[in-house]
Amino acid sequence: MKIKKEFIGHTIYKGRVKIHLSEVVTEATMKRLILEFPQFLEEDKPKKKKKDAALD
Amino acid sequence: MANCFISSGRGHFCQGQVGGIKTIFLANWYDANKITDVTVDASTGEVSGVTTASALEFFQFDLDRQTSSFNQTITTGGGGALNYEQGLDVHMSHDSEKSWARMQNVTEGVFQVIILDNNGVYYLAGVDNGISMTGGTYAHGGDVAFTDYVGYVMQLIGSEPFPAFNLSTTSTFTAFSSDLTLSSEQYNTAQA
Repeated sequence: MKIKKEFIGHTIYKGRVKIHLSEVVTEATMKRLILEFPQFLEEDKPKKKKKDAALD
Repeated sequence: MANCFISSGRGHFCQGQVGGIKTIFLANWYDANKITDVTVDASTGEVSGVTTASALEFFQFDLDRQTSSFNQTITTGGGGALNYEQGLDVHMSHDSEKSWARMQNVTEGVFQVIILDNNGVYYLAGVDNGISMTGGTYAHGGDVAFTDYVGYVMQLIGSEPFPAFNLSTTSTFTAFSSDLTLSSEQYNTAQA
């Protein structure tokens, strides 16, 4: 999972918690986002593999 | 160091702002009916989104001009504690039979509050713990002469981990129309 582009640079305030949404977040933060704030996340798109010239 | 460092200075501002508040919007505060979290654009400081348990309805209370105020008091503790006391001192002139009935609910309830100041800025207060009445006078407050004030003077206070959120100058009920609605229920008639 990764943070949706439009939310990068925003901060979530909930109770006494403040979570800054930067491009890279810690594993613990990502776990919390997955559990509590999935609306800010999207699936990682699989990277396109470069075609192997030898197979063409 | 924790995430509390400054990243910008602050210059002198040109004149142009005024004091005071002119309208408050109250929403009943309970688990199934409140804003649960707020998202802020870190670069502008404006609220970019709110999450609600269900669509939240606010009720508008127009205040007397140049008499009402919104105060935020910062309290820090030696052990790292931090608290923002959000206080409203609101004046609503006139009494009526409808006021007698309806203002009791304001006295007894707990609310999330949107405040519109005289600069046209909307603020969101009482998000985490709600704001409730702590004192005031109900319709009559020692008035004697014909020209004395008759109306509701009320103090509402809440304690929050963050200062009231800046909702910008765009009407909150336009910017966040899918989550926050403004009730058309409002009375404005004095005693019949």
